[in-house]
Amino acid sequence: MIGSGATTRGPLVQDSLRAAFERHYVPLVRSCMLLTGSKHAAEDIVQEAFVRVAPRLSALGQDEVRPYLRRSVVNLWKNHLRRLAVERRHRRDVHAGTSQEDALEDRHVVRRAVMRLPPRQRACIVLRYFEGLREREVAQVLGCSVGTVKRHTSRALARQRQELGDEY
Amino acid sequence: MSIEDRLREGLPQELPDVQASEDAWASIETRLARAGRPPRESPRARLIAAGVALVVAALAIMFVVRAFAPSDGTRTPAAGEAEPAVSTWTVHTIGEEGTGISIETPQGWTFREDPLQIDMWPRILFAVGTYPFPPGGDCAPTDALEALPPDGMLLWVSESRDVHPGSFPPRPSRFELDPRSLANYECSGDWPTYLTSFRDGGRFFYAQVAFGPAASDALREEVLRSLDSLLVEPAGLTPDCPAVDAGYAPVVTPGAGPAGSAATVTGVKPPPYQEGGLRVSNWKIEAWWNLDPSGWASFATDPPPAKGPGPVVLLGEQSTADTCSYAVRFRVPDVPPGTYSIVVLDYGGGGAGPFEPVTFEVTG
Repeated sequence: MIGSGATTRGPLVQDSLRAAFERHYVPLVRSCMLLTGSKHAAEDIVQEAFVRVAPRLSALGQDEVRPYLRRSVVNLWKNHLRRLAVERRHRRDVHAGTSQEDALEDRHVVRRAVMRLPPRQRACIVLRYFEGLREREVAQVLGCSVGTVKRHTSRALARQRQELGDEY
Repeated sequence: MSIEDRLREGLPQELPDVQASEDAWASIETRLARAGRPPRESPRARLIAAGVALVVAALAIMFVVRAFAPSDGTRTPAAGEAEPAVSTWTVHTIGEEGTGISIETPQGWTFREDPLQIDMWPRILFAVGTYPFPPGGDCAPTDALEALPPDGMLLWVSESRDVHPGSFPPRPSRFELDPRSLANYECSGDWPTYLTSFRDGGRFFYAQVAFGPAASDALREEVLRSLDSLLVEPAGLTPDCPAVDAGYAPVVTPGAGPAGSAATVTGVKPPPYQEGGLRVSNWKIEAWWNLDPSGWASFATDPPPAKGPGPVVLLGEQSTADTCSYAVRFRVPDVPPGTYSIVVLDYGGGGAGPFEPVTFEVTG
């Protein structure tokens, strides 16, 4: 049951939300972990994205739920970055990567290399090669032009080649 | 194996297991249940709330004074008398996340998105009027203008694209009704309007305002206040300004000098952030001498609170709508030797917040 504060949401919306949760929660958290570097932060962001999609769920087609959630996740992640920046503004002793790479092990070479990318490049790589989106779809999620996606992706791949060795 | 394939294969393998657990679902339920409650106040919100509280208090006093004043019960403002300021404002938001824009207006004003209902550029994003107005018009909301009352106002904001950025000046710190701009423009030719063009967040806008012949000065002030509340979600993806790991504490150069000497406070602007459902960017900074930044709400007071002995001085301000850094040159106030605090306030999202304070040593 949804809590008492959500009594205006009918059972159909509740069922739809639960169905969306079952279907999209895990892949979204996994994707978001690549953006944040933290499982805890990723779950927090994705759960908030579900809260945001709830009032619009009845207006979304079945194929529109995942893109809406994905876009919400990306926007919330940007918000997360902003909060980190504000924290750093007041606590200069906080290292930039402390909260982002808390769970990475040494064997996670690819993931670690992605985490070292600047946020925009990281988002392009995650959406393009982990989520499997086309460049146009990535541009829609990120709200930029296809050319911008191409540019960031190209730079990110060049950096990944450097990070992961010359074999690529 | 190409680098692209390595990413496709390596990333999924290197991620830990995630479950759609009942705990996660319960967390979503709890958040949904809380969604109806007002959000916790941020420092910025507290600052805004303090301003609103002052207005409400002033109105309450006015109400009491009026209630006990002799009256026939049908009091109307005398000619030339300003209407009382409204106590509550409404936020109107349009657009999707990533293309949004919002504006605050006094309650009772009419807000209409896409007032022409025509697919054209520059696109009229919205119109705001002091009266109920109909949609319609060819390239300006002329149907609404035809209904403009003598004491009324109609404002509309258009967005342009494919323009030369240099042809749109940065958003001003405060909007003004420049009398030089009052003219009969194409489309709205029968009605003289004030016109302001500006760029904000990589987007390009026109704001046009038409007043009825009997519009009050108070109404003009309200329109400007409404325009100043405009929040624009930046175009493009991501932060216009990059995050800076070193933080955003300003730097004063030189860090010491006698009263009357020149110094400069410089710094960088943080990336945009979420506020009110929009991604917004700070648009102005102010540099203050000896301001106490701990009393967020008290920024609205006059005089503002002092950090230490001596006066509180506004050293200068600068628009940061289109820049990622700022530099405010100032003269050291005429104060006795000692160590003084300098605070930079960044304005955005309808409020202000301080960067980390820095100090300046006034020498003898």
